[in-house]
Amino acid sequence: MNYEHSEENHKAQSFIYTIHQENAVVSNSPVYEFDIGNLNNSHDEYLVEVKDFVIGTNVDANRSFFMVVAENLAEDGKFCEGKLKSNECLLSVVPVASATYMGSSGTFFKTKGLRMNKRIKITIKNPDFTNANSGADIDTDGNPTRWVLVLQFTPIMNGLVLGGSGMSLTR
Amino acid sequence: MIITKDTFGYVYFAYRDDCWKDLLQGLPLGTRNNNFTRDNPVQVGNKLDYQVQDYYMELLSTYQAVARAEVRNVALFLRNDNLQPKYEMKSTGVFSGLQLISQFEYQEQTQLPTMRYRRNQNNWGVIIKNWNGKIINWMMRDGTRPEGADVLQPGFNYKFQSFSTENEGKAIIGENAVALEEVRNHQRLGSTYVFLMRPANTIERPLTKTLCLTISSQERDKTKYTFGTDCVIKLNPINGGYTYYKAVIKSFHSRLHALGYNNAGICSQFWNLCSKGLNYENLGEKGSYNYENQSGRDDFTFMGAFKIKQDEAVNPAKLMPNLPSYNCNILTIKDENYTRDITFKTFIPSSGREPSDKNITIGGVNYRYGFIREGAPQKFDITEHADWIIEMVLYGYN
Repeated sequence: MNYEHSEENHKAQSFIYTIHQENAVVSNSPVYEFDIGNLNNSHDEYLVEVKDFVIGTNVDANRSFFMVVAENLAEDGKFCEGKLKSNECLLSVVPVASATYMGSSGTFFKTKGLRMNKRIKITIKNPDFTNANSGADIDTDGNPTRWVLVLQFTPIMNGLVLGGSGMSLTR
Repeated sequence: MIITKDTFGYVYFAYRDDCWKDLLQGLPLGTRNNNFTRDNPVQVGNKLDYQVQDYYMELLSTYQAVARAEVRNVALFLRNDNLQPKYEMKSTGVFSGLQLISQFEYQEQTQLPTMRYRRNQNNWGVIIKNWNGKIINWMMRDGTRPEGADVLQPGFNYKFQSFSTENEGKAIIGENAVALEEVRNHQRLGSTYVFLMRPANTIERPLTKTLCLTISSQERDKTKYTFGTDCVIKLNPINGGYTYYKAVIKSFHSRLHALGYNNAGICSQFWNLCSKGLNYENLGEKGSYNYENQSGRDDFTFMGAFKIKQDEAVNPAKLMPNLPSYNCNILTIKDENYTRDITFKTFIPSSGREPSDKNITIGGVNYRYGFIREGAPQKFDITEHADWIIEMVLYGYN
């Protein structure tokens, strides 16, 4: 299926969903579990697009980059099939050498099962796909590394992305 | 960025092969400043469809080896002072014969041109004419050279020119001899320009995003591992409902493994990563005149650049952090119903050659692994611990 071109920032029925590391229901750095969803509306399927991933300090910049992997979130996409499981997706790659600590954006995929809560797992990984080591790669100097993930959800109904023109926020 | 089924990436590798020739003759780089002629122009226009007269062109990214430790904004222009009537360039906002096509920033410390705020969504497009299939020749203008210093003016039609956005738009040039030499020594070592191109004056429905595809060096088939950053990765069928895909490489992240590092001597500040077997057109990227002419690499497609961060001490783990690259190129992928091998290979932009597994001794100076240095040679290993990952967005069509 094709997704509506989502270069515009706003879609009529889109909304922003923000996930912060501190809101994890289970936090075992670098693995964080979240219960997302419970949207309680008529839509069960959404197009998800990563708008931003920002990581704080207390990281080892010599890692060059970190990868942010989500489990049990994406229903499609082909994400490093030789290294990741079929229910994992690569949300963002965060360059820590450039001192911006802002990850790549624009990754998109389809997700299901959000009428009720859904447990997802987000992991910070090293460039070699090992989990980042708390205390060495992240959470350095005894201080936790904080991060925030910004997602855009757009409902899908009968295979159609309910994006609208994206030009009107009041419709 | 509008992607249609006719959109393609056009890559120029502009490097100074005579650097290598001089080195092989035992001449150090520093003695060649006065002989920096324009005898190796980049020709643009090869592999364009002769049936198409007008092309829309937009700068996606650029990588340049420039040594200048300062923050400076740079405006990149197309210069058309040698235009003939039949080679007409149409655009709005023409400024004194120069067409602004992008602005970028020389990042402090790294001394690499980095697109402002990591991604430049505001590039300026131009339309160029491909007159009845005749080749349009371009040449990279060395922005470091004083005006009037050109000794050779081949019959090119368009040139690039860079200006600082400060100092009333003066061309990039060192204010003192030392800085000037630094700039020259590095500027000549290579640049990579990547353009989005598509036939102009056609009404074509933009494609929509279909799927995300990421590939990492960690997926390499180690039974086929050969040398350096060479690696073979198995690509499974995409099965996204389309036969063809336009793949926009939206990001490229990497790190290298250094066993020794002297930030004063490094010259090749980025390396090009290319692939074979992924681009359906199998011609390599359109453009790349020098690669195909001198290195026989027209079957490889540019995937991104290792942008080496300079002034970075080697950490105990000896991992060299790199800078990210964005909007690297646009490929055409044809889906297959079988798993295929994709080969990745690295080229040194200063020469278009692969990193060598042999040391090269020139004039008593040992250049290890084909990696050009001016300072004390150190081993620069990109084998076991070189990791990279590429993020792509696929636009499907039949």
